[in-house]
Formats: sequence, structure tokens, C-alpha cells
Amino acid sequence: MKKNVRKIICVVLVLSLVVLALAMLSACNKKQQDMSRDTQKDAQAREASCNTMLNNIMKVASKDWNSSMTDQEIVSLDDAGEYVSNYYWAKFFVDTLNHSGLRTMKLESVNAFIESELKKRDEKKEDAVSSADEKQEEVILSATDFILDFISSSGLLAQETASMTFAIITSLLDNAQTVYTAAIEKCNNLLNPGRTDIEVTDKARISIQKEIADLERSREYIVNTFSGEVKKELLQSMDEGKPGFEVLFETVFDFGGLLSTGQFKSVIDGGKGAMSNLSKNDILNFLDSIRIKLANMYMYFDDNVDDVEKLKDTFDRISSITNTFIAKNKIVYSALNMVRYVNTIMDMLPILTDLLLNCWTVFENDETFIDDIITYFIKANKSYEENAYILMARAFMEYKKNTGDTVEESKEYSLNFIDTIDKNIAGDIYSSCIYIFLEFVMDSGNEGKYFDVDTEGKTAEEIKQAKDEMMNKLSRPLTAVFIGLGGLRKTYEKFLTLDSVKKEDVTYRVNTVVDMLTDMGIVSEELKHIATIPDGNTDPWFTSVYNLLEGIIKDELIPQAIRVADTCMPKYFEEIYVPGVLEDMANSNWVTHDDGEEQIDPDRAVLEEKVKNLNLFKMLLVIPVFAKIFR
Amino acid sequence: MIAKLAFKNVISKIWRTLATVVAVAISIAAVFLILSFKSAIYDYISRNSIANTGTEYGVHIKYSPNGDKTITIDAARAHEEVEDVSPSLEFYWLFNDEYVSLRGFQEGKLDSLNEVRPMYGSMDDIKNVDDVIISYTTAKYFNLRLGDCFTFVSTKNVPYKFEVKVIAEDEGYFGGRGIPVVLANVKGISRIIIGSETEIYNNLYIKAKPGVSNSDLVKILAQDPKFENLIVEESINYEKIGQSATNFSATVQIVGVAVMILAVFGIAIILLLSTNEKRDYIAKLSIIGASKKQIAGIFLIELAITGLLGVILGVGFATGLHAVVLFALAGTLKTFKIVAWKLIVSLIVGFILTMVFGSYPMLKAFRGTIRDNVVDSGKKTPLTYIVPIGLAVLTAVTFILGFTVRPLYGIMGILSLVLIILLLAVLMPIVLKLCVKPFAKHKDTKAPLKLAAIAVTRNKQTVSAGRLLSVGLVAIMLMFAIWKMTTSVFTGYMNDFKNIVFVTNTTQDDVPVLSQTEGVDRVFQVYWGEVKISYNGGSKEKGTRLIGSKEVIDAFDFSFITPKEVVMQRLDEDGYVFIDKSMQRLYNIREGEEVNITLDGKTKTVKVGGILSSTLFTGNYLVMGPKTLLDTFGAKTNNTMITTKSDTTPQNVVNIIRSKYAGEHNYYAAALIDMFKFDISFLNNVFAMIGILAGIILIMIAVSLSSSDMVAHGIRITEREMLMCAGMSKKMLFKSELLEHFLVAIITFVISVATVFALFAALLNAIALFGLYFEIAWPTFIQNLWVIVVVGFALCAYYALIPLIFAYKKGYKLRAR
Repeated sequence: MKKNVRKIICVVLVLSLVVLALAMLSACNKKQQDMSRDTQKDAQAREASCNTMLNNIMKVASKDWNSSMTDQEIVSLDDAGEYVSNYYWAKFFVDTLNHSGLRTMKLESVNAFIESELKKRDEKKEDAVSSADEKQEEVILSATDFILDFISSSGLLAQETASMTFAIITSLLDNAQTVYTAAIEKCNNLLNPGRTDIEVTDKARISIQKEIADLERSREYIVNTFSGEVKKELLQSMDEGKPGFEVLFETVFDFGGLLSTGQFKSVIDGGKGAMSNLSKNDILNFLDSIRIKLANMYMYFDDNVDDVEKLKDTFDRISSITNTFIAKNKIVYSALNMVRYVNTIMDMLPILTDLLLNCWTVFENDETFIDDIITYFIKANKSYEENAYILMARAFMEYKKNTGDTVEESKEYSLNFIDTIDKNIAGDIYSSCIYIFLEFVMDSGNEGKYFDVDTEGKTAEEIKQAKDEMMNKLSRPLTAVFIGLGGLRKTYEKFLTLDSVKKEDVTYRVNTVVDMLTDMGIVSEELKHIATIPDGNTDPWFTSVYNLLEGIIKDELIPQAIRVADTCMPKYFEEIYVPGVLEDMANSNWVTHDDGEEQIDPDRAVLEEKVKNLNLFKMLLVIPVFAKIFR
Repeated sequence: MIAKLAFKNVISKIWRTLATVVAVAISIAAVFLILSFKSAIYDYISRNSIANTGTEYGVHIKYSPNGDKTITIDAARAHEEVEDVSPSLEFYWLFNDEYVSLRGFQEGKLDSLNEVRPMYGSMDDIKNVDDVIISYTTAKYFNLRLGDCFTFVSTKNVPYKFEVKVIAEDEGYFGGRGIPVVLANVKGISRIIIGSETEIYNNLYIKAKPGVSNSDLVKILAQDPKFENLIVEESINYEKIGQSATNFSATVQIVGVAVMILAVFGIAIILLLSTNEKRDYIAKLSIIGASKKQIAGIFLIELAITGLLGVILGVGFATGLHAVVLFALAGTLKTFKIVAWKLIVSLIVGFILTMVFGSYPMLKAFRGTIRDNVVDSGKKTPLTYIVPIGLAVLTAVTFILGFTVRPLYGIMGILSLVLIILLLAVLMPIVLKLCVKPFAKHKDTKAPLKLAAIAVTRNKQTVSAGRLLSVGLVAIMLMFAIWKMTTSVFTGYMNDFKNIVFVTNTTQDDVPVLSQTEGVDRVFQVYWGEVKISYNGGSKEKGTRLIGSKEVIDAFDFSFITPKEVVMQRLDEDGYVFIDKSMQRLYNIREGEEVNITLDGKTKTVKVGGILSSTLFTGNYLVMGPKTLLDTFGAKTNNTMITTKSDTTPQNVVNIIRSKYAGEHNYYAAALIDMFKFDISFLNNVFAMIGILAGIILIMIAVSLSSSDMVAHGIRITEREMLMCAGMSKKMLFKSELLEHFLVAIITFVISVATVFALFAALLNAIALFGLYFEIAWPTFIQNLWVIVVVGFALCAYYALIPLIFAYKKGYKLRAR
């Protein structure tokens, strides 16, 4: 035994190195942690996200609501009817997203977005309480603001946003009737006299009864317009138009993100961070990437004319059917608005893309163009707007060169563009195309020069007077549409979605429009009596007044404005397309800022004179204007 | 018959054979580890470059801090020499308060540069533009699994989510060190910086057509005006990798010389210990009529068996220990590379040494008569005196030359290092004898001590053990010395970074903004990048780091060889660059000399405005004033350096900057020390590798010492029997043997510690061969002397206690004859 001690120690020592090596080698290949997907956890997370979303949407609608209220809690609410309606629409929205294939993490993103909106709303409310001046302001965002914010802040891919929008519109067409029915059944169930487990308050009862009436009306409308073959056809054509819709919306949403997050501007004006201190080449590279994107979309439009036509046709039909439908629910309202925007965009975007793509070579052919662009944007607050016209003239010259358009062709192209706008105005008077229209014809510098008036035997003073009258004829109805009815419409939307607008606000808005119409000589018996809000339930009154005013404006003022515009447009284009005018503008000297005392820059004076005649270039400002479309 | 006898010899002394085999194997492993060290470091460093760029796309065009930040693909594709172009968008972004490296490639081309080996998920799962691939290590680090997501918040506060669709092995793209890599679709990550899925790129990786070299393609593309404001270079800078590998391995390579000498000694001593015994055996064989041929046959077969066993075990030791060292370096180890020729060389060296030293007793026996072989005359030849004296003189000369003749620093350093070790080995027996003689001679010395002292003076095995111990001691102490020194030299200067915050993507306009941050002391702009300096009239070139700032002088610990006021004045002027004292010493660059600096592809001539001294980047840096930077090179300072107040931490300031400016600016803010986090981790791995190597060599020496000591112990059995027959008790015999070991250990320890100073000085001269000079080497050595002494002492203590550890006493007995 003793003899072996030395041997054992010896063996141990000799083997120590081997053991050390083996131990370390085995440590190198130690068992790995399992990182495979936890499907059970995923399913739970998805369910939790959907529940949270439902709850959040209910909270957005009212801070007193949540998605898990018991029947007793519901019938204790003053606005119990609205709760039911909102609950079913919220559920519709969540179910649609859940089945749309949107990934769980993106559902969480949507949730995070809604929560941030909730937070924003609460903060704004606090601010409004602390500021007496802002008490009148409603906190809830408009549907379009909501959509724009969603695109820019939710972090969803453009393709996901497009698919989601498509899924909501399709699901709305398919299931709206079911949702209305479910909500009605729930309301009836709550008011069921046989139910002894709940005690309905008087206010809740009134609210539910009112809601049932509204829901029934909407359901009836849907049954009459979207059921049977019509619905089947619409869904089929939606399905056929899906690829076109997604391509279009992906591009639009992506640009929406680019414009609305302010990143585009920060790239151009030398923003900070990863995109800071960009060189001329960097900006050119960046713009070129955008061009490629636009070109791809344009190619799609070009290659898939039939699909695009089908889609356009579908949306036209949906628009015309829903034109008279009052979408009381915000989700329905947003979805239908989206359909209207699609209509507008589908008309405008190919034209604008063609315009932009044909202008694009200016970056290659005009060496100083990018420098001037940078100068203009970086010093935007110091630059003269006239310089933008010079840039546009240079770009437009490039367009002309690329397309080889003659003066007549350019004129025709522009008139077609105006026609498109006209068509949209006729379709949706609230389309933001009005902005363009207003920009176009209401420039104060024109002094009515494009209006055709009978000049025979008239003095210059009289001619001017006649033109001023024409100008009035055009401007006042547009002012009424844009300012008067715009404000009224906003108030009405709030009234529809919230039912919490103040009587003073309603009175103010209605009176403004009535005054405008009266000033224009539109006097009717009905108008005389509507300015006073009756006591008690104002809902029927406000709805009827709104419909009346909208009807007058649509029937009388818009056609009048279009008629007047039509008379002056050709003349306007005649003047603009005089050969040499664009060239002259494009070759004008760049106006530099004078940091010294105020004095009239001679270059600027010359340029201002030229600009007066070149309002067409404002059309080229449609890109920033389109940003407004979503606002 | 001969073979049978040889096998019988091998088996009859099985423990001695095994000890020899182990000694041979250890020597083989030691040689292999030293030979493989540099290539291991090289592979480790190059893994990073290969991970970034792959090997196929040999040319890299990247954004320049002072030029363009984005690149288009078409210009590169237009060149006929170009086979393919792989564009990418790459930037760092915060996730969970940590930076990750986002690398975006075109759809379906995520693995165009490098391989991705999915462990979880498959490449077909990558369908959306926000699906990402990460490595196993990154997943583990952030506690993510498939289906989990990264959320990156843009400067506009938009949260973008990215789903983990593939978790890949830490190979290919993920084989490098540094910031965790997230591989994604370019459209997905573009959204973070521009809010759109628009494809923008800031890197192009270009594959040359067959027959076109990467360097030629670099030249062609660099002349394209489209790339004039970008950096065009070869994807993998092999020169730089080689330089880094050299820097980190230089000291080990030099100490490796000592280790190799030790390996030779290890084999030699264990085989020579039994010379007398073998001569005696040969004499006996001769008496019974064996011919020289037969005797040689027996010995050579015996040696071949031992050598082959040593080689077999050596292969195991070498590969196993190499894997251990590599594991220390990389942390993970799926596969490892063994360079065949290095292993073969090690094995051949081990085998040949075994055969050569093992044959020595036989050859000596053949030269003498049977009587000579039975009775060792112990005659001294003139060489006994000439060799030590000659060696001592030669050592002194080379040592002095190493300090006095500049061009000879390196070569004399390495020569004197070798000579000092050889001298130590040669002188050690003499020193031992001289030291113990008083004990042996003194009449009052107690019996065990006297016996021990006599053994030291007379016993060849004991003297050889002292020789082996001394060489082992200096080798291991040097190994630990360089381990501690390189750690301090390469990472010690980072202590200066502790109160500094570094913010990238900034301009001079940001300085007032950042100055408003709470806890900020000084704020200044700095250029922080890599440049090339060519000197000696442009004949020599070197890559180095450039710090472009005047204020940096006060932010770091600089001392001034050129008067400070002159330096400060010249920092405000155009046309000056300032170098470190180490550069002056190594490359003989003088103040006022003109040098060429290449910055962002522009080469300009500037004057050396002064000599500074700092531990920063081990002296491998240049300082340049902002005026020179801008006027001569057109480069702007693009980073802000912030020193923080003592009442806060850099991380606090970083957090404030990140939260305060998140919405407006896209600053990349981090504590400077954190920016070097992965460099430090990398260096620590390298130093851990040196440490592990030192540890392994320590064990090897211990095993080698044990083996040879046991062999020696076995040989001295007759001596012990005689003493026991003379009436010596086992206890006294053991005490005597223990004291013998103690005497050798103490004397060797003292001499070796003294020698290590000389060896370290020689080593510092020798590293000049690798273009290195460490200003703080001596202070670090002194500072860590205790570690060196403790390691040496531990080894000596082990040697001293070998009789106790291996229970020699138990084997004391009289054999029946």
C-alpha cells in the first residue's frame, strides 16, 4: 500500500496536464442555452396585446371606459349607448388586426402608439385646464392627424401599414353589418326588461335608446348599399386591386414617414447626427434613392394599368356609396376617409411622379442646382421665396426638355391636371385639393387680371371694378367653403364622434356660415331661423342645420367657383406659356440676402415682377401641399 | 533478442521511462506553444477583420468623417475591373443603453460578405425588412431568443422594432470581437435614421474580377472622382493585423527563446542524469560479450521507444494545451487551427533531442574502457574553465552593446538574453558548490545538513537539478514579468480615460451646447482617427493614431521633452505634428524633421513640432493642432471630448446627453472607457493568453523538475543503501534529502531573481527588433516584482518539497541482493 503512494502521486501529477486540457476543452463546448422560439409565450403575448389594445382604444374614446366593464357598470354610465357602440367597433378593429397577420411585436407597437396618444391627450387636457384661452380646444385628434401620427410614430413598416389599412377597409365592407347587429343586440340585451341582474339608470337608458336608433339607421344603410351582390362584387374587386393598393400605399406611407418625421428636412438642411454634415454628393445620393423609389412606383403604375384602373373603380364606387353615409364611429370614419384619400392620390400621384421624374435630370445637367437647393433650404428663413421660383423654373425647363412638350402640350397637360383637381373637388369638397385651387386662383397679386369681363365702352376704372366683382364672386364662396364650412365641418365631426361640443361653439360656427351666405345674397326662409339653438336635445337640430348648409354650399357655391375659375384658367395658361417666360425666370439672378439695413434689392424687385406672372410654379409646391393633405 | 532486451529495459524501469516520456512531451508542447503563439494572436485579430468584410470582397469603400457619408453603387459597378458590389448601411445605435452595430444589406443578400450559420431559425425565415440575425453570444448577452425583438428609438423618438429571426453561430460575421452585430435589411435600418425605407448606403464592398489584384483595384477606384471624398482601401489590412500581432506577441516570442532553452535542458538533463548508470550497464554488456553494434541497437531502440512515446504524448499535450490557450483568448472554441509544420517541427525537435542526449552516455561509453565506464574518474578538462569564462565575457560584451549601440539594440538584446541563460546554466553548479562548501567543510555542521551539502557539491544529479531549476525559474519569472508588463503597458493608459466622455458626430457648434450639460468640466473638439506616418525621408512607414486637438494636452497625462510653451505655441500654428518619445527612440525621428502624414487618403508633409512623453496608446500616437488639421489636411474635428467633474461619473453625463439631446441630435455619446470596452476585453483576452501560457509553462517546469528529480532519486538508490547500511536512520536520511533540495532551491532562487533583472533589461532591448519600446516597462516591472518573486518562490518551494510530496521516505529500504 505504502509502496503505491509515490506511484499514485506521480500518476496524478502526470495526468494533471491532460486533465487540465480536457477540462478546458469540455468547457469550450459547454451546453448551449435554448434560444428557440417560445410559441406558447408568443401566443400569450399576442392575446395580451389584443386585450391591451382593446382596452386602450376604449380609454382613448373615454377616460371613464375600459374594455372589461360588466353590464352593471355599463348601464351605470351616462353614455352607455356609446360605450356599447365603441366597444364593438374597437373589437372589430382589434380582431381585424389580430387576423391580418400583423406580427405580435407590431401589435405591441400599435399599443405603444395608442398609449402615447393617451398620454398626449392627458397632457393636453392638463394644459387646457391651466390655460383659460385654450379651454375651447378639443383635445381629441382628428382622424387624419391620427393616421399621420400613426404612420410616422408607430414604427410599423410601410407595407404593414398598407396591409393593415387594406384589411380594415375590406373587413369594414365585409363585416360592418355584423358589427352593427352585434352592437344593437347588446343594447337590446341591456334594456331587456326581463333582466333583473342589472339596474339601468335613466341617462344610460336614454343613451342606449339613442344609440340603438343610430345603429339601426346605419345598419339599414349598409344593408341597402353593401349587401348581396354589391358587397360581393366590391370585395372581389378589392381583392383584385390589392397589389396595386399595397404598392401605392407602401410608397405613400413611406414618404409620409419621411416627410412627417421631419427627417427629410433634416437631411436637406444639414441635420444633426448620423445624417449630419452631409455633402452635396450625400444629398444627391439621398435624392437619387427617392427617385428610384418613385420610378419603381411609376413603373408599377405603367405596367399594371388594368389593376390600377380596377382599384380606382372600386374606390370610386365605395366613395360614391358612402358619400351620404354619416360615419359616426371614428374607425369607420377614418377608413372611409382613407378611401377618399386613395381616390385623390391615385389621380394625382402618377401625374406628379411623372412631373418629378422628368425634372430630376436637372441634378445631373445643372451643376449648381443642388448647391442652390441646399442654399435655399439651409437659409430658408433668410432666403427670398422668389429663389424657389427660379429653382422651379430651372426644373421645369428640364421637364420640358425631357418630354419635348410644346407650349401647347404643356398647356394641355396643365389643364388636365386642373381637370383632375376639379373632379376631386366635385367628389369630395373637403379634399385638400382646395388648397391648391385656392393657391392657384386667389393670389392677391393678380388683381383679377385673368377674369374675362366685357370691356367694350368701359373705362379702365370700370373694368377694374368688374374684375374685382368677379374676384369677389370667386373668393367669397371659396372663403365660405374653406373657412366657414371647414370650421363648421370640424365642429360637426367632433359633435358626431364625441357629442361633447359646446353650444357656444356650434352657435358661432353656424352663424359664421349663415352670415357669409347672407352676404352673398343667398337668403332663404330656412336660413333665417336656424341661427338660434333650441333648448333641450340639440342633436336633430344640428344635424339638419349642417346638412342644409352643406347642401347650399355644394349646390350653389362650388359650381359657381368652378365656373368662374374655368373662365379664367385658359387665359391664365395663355399668359404663362408664352415662350421665353420660363427661360427668363430660369436665367434670373439668385437673390441674396442683404444683412444690412432694409433696402429694396433691385434683383428682387425684378424677380417679384416676374413671379407675379408665374403662379404656375406654385403648382410645383404641391409636394409640401400634399403633406398637408394628411393633416 | 536486442529488441527484447530494449523492451525489457523500458519496462523494468517503467517509472523512469514514463518520467522521460513526460519530459519529452512537455518539451515538445512548450516548443509548439511558443511557435504557435504569434499565429494564434494573428488569427484572433484577423478574425475581426474577416468578420467585418469577409475575404471575397477585397476592396472597401467607406464614408469619410470629413467627406461624403453616403455612396451610390452605380459608379463602382461601372468599372470593368469590378466583378460584384455589395453595398451596406452601417452605424451604431443604442439598445438597452448599449451600443450595437447595425449592418444593413440588400434584400436577400444578408450573407453576401460572410457566412451565416444558423443555430436557431433559418435564412428562409428572413421575410420582412425588419427581421434580423444575431449571434448566439449577442442573444445570450441581451437575453433574447427567436421571436424576441430589438427596439431602436430614432432621433425623432419613433420606436422601430426588429424581430430576431435567426440566431447564428459566432462565426463569419459574428466571429469578430467588439460591439454586438445585428444583421438586417438596409431598408429596415434606414428607417431609424431617415424615417423611410429608402435604401441608402455608406459602405461598398467590392469584388475584383479574376486577374485584378485588390491593390490595383484600390488604385483604380481611388482615382474615380465619385469616390474622391470617400475612403478607398483594401478590406483587410494584413499589414496592420501583422503589426498588432507582433506588438502583442513580441515579448512572448523573446521569452520563448528562454522557454525553448528550457525545453532543451528538460530533455537533456533527464536523459543525462543516468549517464553513469548507463555506462555501467554498457560495461556489463561488454563484459558478457556484446558488440558495440548490439549495444547501440539496444540503446537506440530504447531511445526510439521513449522518443516515440514522448512524441505521441507530445501531440496530445501540444494540441490540448494549445486549445486551452486559444480558449483563454476567444472564450469560445468550436474549432481550432493547428499549423502542421509547427507541430511537426516540435515533434522532430523533441525526438531528435531525445535521440541525441539519450545517445550521449552510449557514445561516451564507447570512447572509454570498461574500467572508465564502471568508475567515473571525474577529471576536469580545460573546457571546464574556458567555457564559463568565455561565456561570461561574451555575455558582458553583448549586454553592454545592447545599451550603447543604437542599431544593435535589438539583436544584442536577444543575444545577451540567450547568453545570460546559458551562462546561468553553466555557472549554476559552480555557484551551488561554492555556496554549500562551508556547510560541507565545517566540522560543527549537523549531520543531515552536512550530508546534504556534500551531496550538492559531489552529486551530478543534484547539480543538474539546480541547473534545470535555475533556467526554469528565470523562464517562468520572465514569463510572468512580461504578462504583467504587457497588461499594464497596453491597458494601463486607459486609466486616463476614466473621467472622459466621448461624443461623436459633432461640430464646433455643439461645444457650447454640450457645455451646458450638468457635471461637465471641460468640453473641446477633437479629431480621433488613424493615420500613417512616413519618416526617414519617406523610406519607412508606420500606422499610428492621431489626436487632433490642442486641449487634449491638458486632458491626458503628457510630459514634455520639448518645452511645453513651444509645443502649445506650435499647436496653434499650421504645419506641425507632435510625436512621442518612444517614436523618437525607435525610429530616430527628431524635432524639426519633416515627415509625411496620410490622413483620409491625403498625404501631406509636416514638421515634427516637438517630442512628448505619455503612456497613451503605448506611445503610438501623434498630436496635431486644429489649424494644421484643417489648413493642411482639410479635416475637421468631428468628435467632442468632455472631461467630467469629480462629483459625477462619466456614465451620468452620458445619460444626460443621451436623454437631453435624443430628440434633436444623434450624438453617439459614451464614456471613453466604454468605447474601449471591447478593445480592453480583446487585450485582456490576449493577456489572459499570456497568463495561461505562463501558468502552463509553470506546470510544465514543475512536472519536468519532478520527473528529473524522481529519475535522479531512483539513480541514487545505491548511495542511500550505503548510508543506511552505515547506520543512518531513515528519518535522518530523509531530512538530509530534504535539506539538499532546500539548499538548491534557496541558492537557485536568489541567483535567478538577480539574473531576471539582467534578463528583463536584455528583453527590453530585444523588443526593439519588433519596433517596440515601452517607456513604463521598468516601473511596471518593479511594481509587479512581488508577483515575479512569489511565482519563483513557489516553484522553488515546490522543488524543495518534492521529497515530501512524493513521499521519498516511504521508499527507503535495503534491497535483497
